[in-house]
Amino acid sequence: MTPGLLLLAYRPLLDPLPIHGAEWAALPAIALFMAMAYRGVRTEHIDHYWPGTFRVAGVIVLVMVILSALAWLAIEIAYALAP
Amino acid sequence: MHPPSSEPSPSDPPPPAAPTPTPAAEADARRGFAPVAGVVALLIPGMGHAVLGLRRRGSRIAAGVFGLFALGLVVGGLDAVDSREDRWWYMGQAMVGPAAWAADYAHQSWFKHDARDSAMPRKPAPGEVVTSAGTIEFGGAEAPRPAMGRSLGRVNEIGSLACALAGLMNAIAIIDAAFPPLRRRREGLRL
Repeated sequence: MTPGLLLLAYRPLLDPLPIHGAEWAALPAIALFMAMAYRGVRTEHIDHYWPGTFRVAGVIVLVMVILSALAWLAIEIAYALAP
Repeated sequence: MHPPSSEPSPSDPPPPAAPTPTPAAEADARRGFAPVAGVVALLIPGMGHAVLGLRRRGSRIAAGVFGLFALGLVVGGLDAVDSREDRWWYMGQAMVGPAAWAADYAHQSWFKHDARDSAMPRKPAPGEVVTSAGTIEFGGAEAPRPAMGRSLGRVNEIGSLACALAGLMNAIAIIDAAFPPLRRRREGLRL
């Protein structure tokens, strides 16, 4: 079944979103909402809220990408060195 | 001739005193105690800060926590919140408050039913039907689609993770509302 047909059958909140294979696309949204809640607590001056929020969200995404790349590299190296 | 000594002589100038914090700086570093705000923050994310007079912080915390929780429900479906089958995830998710409790209640009581092959209630699989007695039976190829889909694999993980992160973020907000830094009086903190 094509993704388009799956999307037509989607019932919000009752069915999981048919994004198998593209789950990583949820990472920026998760990072942004996390940064919004975190900076709401941690920011010193609420007037500087949004720049700090986008900075934290960007750092989260960047670190996740770097960690993923390093993990992929480590596995590739371990796989190549394995007897 | 006297040997060199590290002891200060009475004629030496006194050493510079360590800087002492001013009363205002000390007050800035202190935290207050607002138990009612902590409880309110658990019941409605962000509202704990709002009752303390920090409405802008409260609205942003609420947007972040509810946004994460809603994202988890949209991606993973209601199946992402399950206190019976995903107990450890639910411990984090429950910190979102009544929204998570209601989602779990709806999941457990409206969509799960007794089945002969399972010790605990479960959702009907495709091809199964719920009888008028409230039990799950085999329905054959003509069985209608189950009332709720089961999320599997990474989609379920992402949904559960987002809902649990919402709870953990709200836990931070609850602590911050219950013990607010007094320096926020400049921002409108009423304590």
